[in-house]
Amino acid sequence: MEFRNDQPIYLQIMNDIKMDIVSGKIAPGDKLLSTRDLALAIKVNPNTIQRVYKELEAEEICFTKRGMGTYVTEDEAVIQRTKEELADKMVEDFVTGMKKINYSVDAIIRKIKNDKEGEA
Amino acid sequence: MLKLLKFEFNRKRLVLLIALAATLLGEVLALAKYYSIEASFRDFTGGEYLALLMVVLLIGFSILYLIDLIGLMRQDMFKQEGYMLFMTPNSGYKILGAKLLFAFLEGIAMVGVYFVLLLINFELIGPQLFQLNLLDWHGIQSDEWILIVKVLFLVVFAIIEFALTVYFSFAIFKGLFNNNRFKGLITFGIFIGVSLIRGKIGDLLTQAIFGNTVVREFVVTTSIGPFINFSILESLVWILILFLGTGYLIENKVNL
Amino acid sequence: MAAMVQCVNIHKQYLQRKALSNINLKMEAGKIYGILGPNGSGKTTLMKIIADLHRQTSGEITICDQSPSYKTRALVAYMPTENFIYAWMRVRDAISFYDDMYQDFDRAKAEDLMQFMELDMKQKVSSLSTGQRARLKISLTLARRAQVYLLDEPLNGLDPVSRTKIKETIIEQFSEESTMLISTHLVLEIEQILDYVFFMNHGEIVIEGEAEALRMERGKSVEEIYTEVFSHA
Repeated sequence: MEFRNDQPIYLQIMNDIKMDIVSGKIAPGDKLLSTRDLALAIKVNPNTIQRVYKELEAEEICFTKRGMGTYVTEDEAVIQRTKEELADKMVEDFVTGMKKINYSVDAIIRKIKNDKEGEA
Repeated sequence: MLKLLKFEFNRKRLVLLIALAATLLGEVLALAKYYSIEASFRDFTGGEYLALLMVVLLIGFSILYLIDLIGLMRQDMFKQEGYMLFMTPNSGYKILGAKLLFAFLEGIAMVGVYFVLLLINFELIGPQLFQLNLLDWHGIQSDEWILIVKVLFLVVFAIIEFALTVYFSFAIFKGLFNNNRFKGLITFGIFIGVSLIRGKIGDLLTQAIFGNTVVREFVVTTSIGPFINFSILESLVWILILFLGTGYLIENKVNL
Repeated sequence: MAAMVQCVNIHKQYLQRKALSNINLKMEAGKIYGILGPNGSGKTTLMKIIADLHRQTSGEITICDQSPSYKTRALVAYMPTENFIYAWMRVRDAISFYDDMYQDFDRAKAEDLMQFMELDMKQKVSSLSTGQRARLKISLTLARRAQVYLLDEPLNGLDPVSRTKIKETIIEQFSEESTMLISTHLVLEIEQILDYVFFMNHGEIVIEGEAEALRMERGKSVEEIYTEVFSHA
């Protein structure tokens, strides 16, 4: 797995897992890989994965069954909330980038409309 | 300790086999040469080949043994492979002790092989020499045999002692330096220094025990027995001192 | 948490040069530490002191509450960067040697690792490629159930397949009860598996910290910090 440089690795892994949950790649109630298996799969320190799972738990996106492993929440509201958060973050990043090349918010909206209508 | 000995033996197994094979081959060649001489001449000149072989073997064994013993430590102290041995949880004394014990066993094996060849060769040419009144082969007394064995062991101990002096110099070098371009030269210098000091102490001891007339007395009386005994004892004492010194340095001071 | 390895004010002086000065370092169970620095910065000297192969000139070291001696060597699994496996050995001889010398050596695990690393028991060490030798070294070292692992440049000069296999083995074999120190100057390859890093230069620790905290504080990868620190060093 390739990581970006400017962020802690655990945040990047958390983000990836959230994306997989929100996009449906991982279904609600699914069991996640064990700490060590995930560490091995993406070749990072097991402690980092432990932290990822702990943080995901704190955000109630995951929960731990004692001695069984870590599972994705079945609470649709939480998944919906996560989806919104991810969307907000992506929009923010996008808008920040566009503003750097001197697009106003109106101009951005116009551009999206035109481009996407053309596509359709 | 047994495991360290096993390791030293495994490492040398092939070399020892080759050395043994070469020695036996030399013996066979010398015997072939001996018996290829016409029987009537054989008595007069043939013995030379076997005698020559025994002298060559004695010198050859001694030199190879010395080189072998120095290599026993040099390889581990100065080559990267030595880490494999020195990072094991064995004290410096134990690692060194295993090497010395192995060296001693190797020495016994060499003396044994040499002694057997000596017996075979004397048995073959002995009767002729006896007829010529050169050597009363079967008349050699048991205490004379013991003396021969003692001399052979003195050679073994002297070589171990020499090798230990070299080990001690290695350890001093490795305690002072990590690695150095002139390590050969510096180690040699240390060795010379250690040898000089040791020689001086040895002289003083000999003088203290036998007095100033020591050498002359032995030549005149030809009673070599006490001298050999003393030399063996002296050698053993030095081996002990150098063992303790080198073991201490390896355990506490060296940078491997 | 009690430190498994603790160095306090370590200095190392050879007759002709200074190798380490004022090293303070603490290693706890369950964590993987990195010492990062260019060649000659003192990484190997420090490891050798912890492994009881070199002796510090001054300062205190404890390994599981003991001073370094041949006894602590039983607790420390050190992997030198050199090819330290005797060339006359076969792979199986090297395994037997470890089995003979270390009580914590797990022979079955070693045999599994040899299979994973695609090493043939009958092969002579002298005929192994650089990558195969490195795989043999790491397998022997990690097949010990030691308290402290010291890996000196485990990925140096290796092909990508060997690097991947070695990284996987480190992650897979590392246990919560032990601690590990990895030295390297190939930071990018290994920074993802480090909890805590020490940057070393000219025998001193110049920066240290949790890897994630450093990334967060500086908005940079550990590798970029390394480049920044050492490009004008």
